[in-house]
Order: sequence, then C-alpha cells, then structure tokens
Amino acid sequence: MTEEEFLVLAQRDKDTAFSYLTIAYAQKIYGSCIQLLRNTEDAEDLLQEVFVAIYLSLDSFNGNSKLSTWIYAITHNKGKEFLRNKTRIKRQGTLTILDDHSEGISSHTINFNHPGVELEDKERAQILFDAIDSLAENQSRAFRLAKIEGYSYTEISEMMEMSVSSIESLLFRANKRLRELLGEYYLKNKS
Amino acid sequence: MNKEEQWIEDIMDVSERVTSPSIPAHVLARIREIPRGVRTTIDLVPKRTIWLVAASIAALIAVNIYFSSTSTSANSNDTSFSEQYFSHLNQL
Repeated sequence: MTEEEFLVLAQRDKDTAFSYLTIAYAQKIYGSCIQLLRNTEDAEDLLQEVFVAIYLSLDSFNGNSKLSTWIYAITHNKGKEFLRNKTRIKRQGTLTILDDHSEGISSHTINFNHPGVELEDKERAQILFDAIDSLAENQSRAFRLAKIEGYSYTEISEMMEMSVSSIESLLFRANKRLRELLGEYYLKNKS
Repeated sequence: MNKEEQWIEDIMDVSERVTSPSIPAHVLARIREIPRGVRTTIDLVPKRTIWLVAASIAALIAVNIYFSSTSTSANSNDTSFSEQYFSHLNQL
C-alpha cells in the first residue's frame, strides 16, 4: 500500500487503516520497545501505549511526513515518557538509586531482562546498553537504531529528520564516545 | 591489542548478537483490540450527558451575554441622564 493510498484509507475507514498498521509495523515497534526498555513486560506495555496513541491521532496524520517517520516519532516520544515515569517511580520507591546522572556509565536499566540477549552475553549486554544510555540523546538514538535495531542510514535519516552525512558523523562520534566510556568503566571496575 | 582494548571489543561485539524477538500472539491480539477498547471508553459517557453538559454551557453563556448587555444599556442610560443633568446645569 502506498502512502497516498494509506492516507485515503485512514480518512475513510480508521479501523481498517489501524489494522493495516498493526500488520505492517507492530513487529518493528515491538523490537524498538524491547531495545529501549530491555524488559518484555515493559515493552508490551509501551507497545500498547504507542498503538493507542497511533489510533487516537490517526485523524491528524496528513501525509506531511513519511508514515514510518510519524510512527517512529510517536514511539520515540512515548518511550521517553515511559522511561521518565518509570524513573520517577523508581526514585519514589527505593533509595538504591543507580542512575545518578554523573559522568561515565550509570545503570539506567531498571530490570534487565532482554529476551534477545543470550545468557552468556547478559552481563556484557547490560554494560553496553548502560553505556549507550549514557551517550548524548541523539548519539544514543542513532547508535541503537543502526547497530542494535539494524536500520539503514537512509531509514535513520528519515526517522531522525537529519541528512545521511549527519547520521554518519553522529554514529562516528557515538562510537568514539562509547569506547571512551567503556575504557573508563574498565579502569574503574575491571583493572 | 591489550587487555582493555580486547574487553572493549568484546562488549561492542555484543551489539551484533542482540536480536529482536517476535511479538507474542497474545500481545498482537491485544493491540488489534485497541479500536474497540477506545470506542468502549468513549461510550462510557452517554450521549445524553454530553448534550446536557453542552446545553448547560450554552445556557450559562446566554445568561452571561444577556446580563452583560443589560448592564451596558443601564450604564448608557446613566450616561445620558448625567449628560442631560449637566447640560441643564450649564444652561442655568
């Protein structure tokens, strides 16, 4: 289905258009939710929130941006909101706060239970994800989309509304910073 | 490559082995039910109540407009009376 056809369908029959979106995008969005939250239950909750938001704002989609960009923007915003709420609950509920926003790697993952990580990789994956979360927001998004979720540079440039060359330089800086952060972590904890 | 660099490489390599699991069938079914769920939530407020609220707001606005226009005309009457009074005084 082309974007124009989808636009016509969304204006004529919202429920059928929504059904099309669940077939075309649910798996991708679920993947993004898992990579962002690294926890099956949270990812399922976020997925539901994203699709409710998509259904409620389907009327406002006017085709000014690509459908995938629009859906990714909703997913990204809902994900940020979800993490903010989760962090707030964590801060209210316990004194063992790991996320201190200091320099270096800090643990952002509330309950690391990533279903796409092999058991023998679990510890290393948690360190990597925490390091990714410690990057600047744009670098973290670009790195996750490219290296973890496997999107092409062109797709990422559409999602983040930046040029491909900007994405390339963002990823170069992300890679460099990630190695610096891991080096600092190594000196502090492993040497 | 020293020990630290090797460790960093090992951590970075994990990103190539992370997979995205398939969406569970029950989650997909729940997602497909969203339109029905949203409509049920909207239907929880009966249409009669919505109309009653709308009518009350309209009545409130109408009453406000009526009283504000009455008060304006009363003010303008006051003004014309004072004008007449002072012009009468001037004539004296």
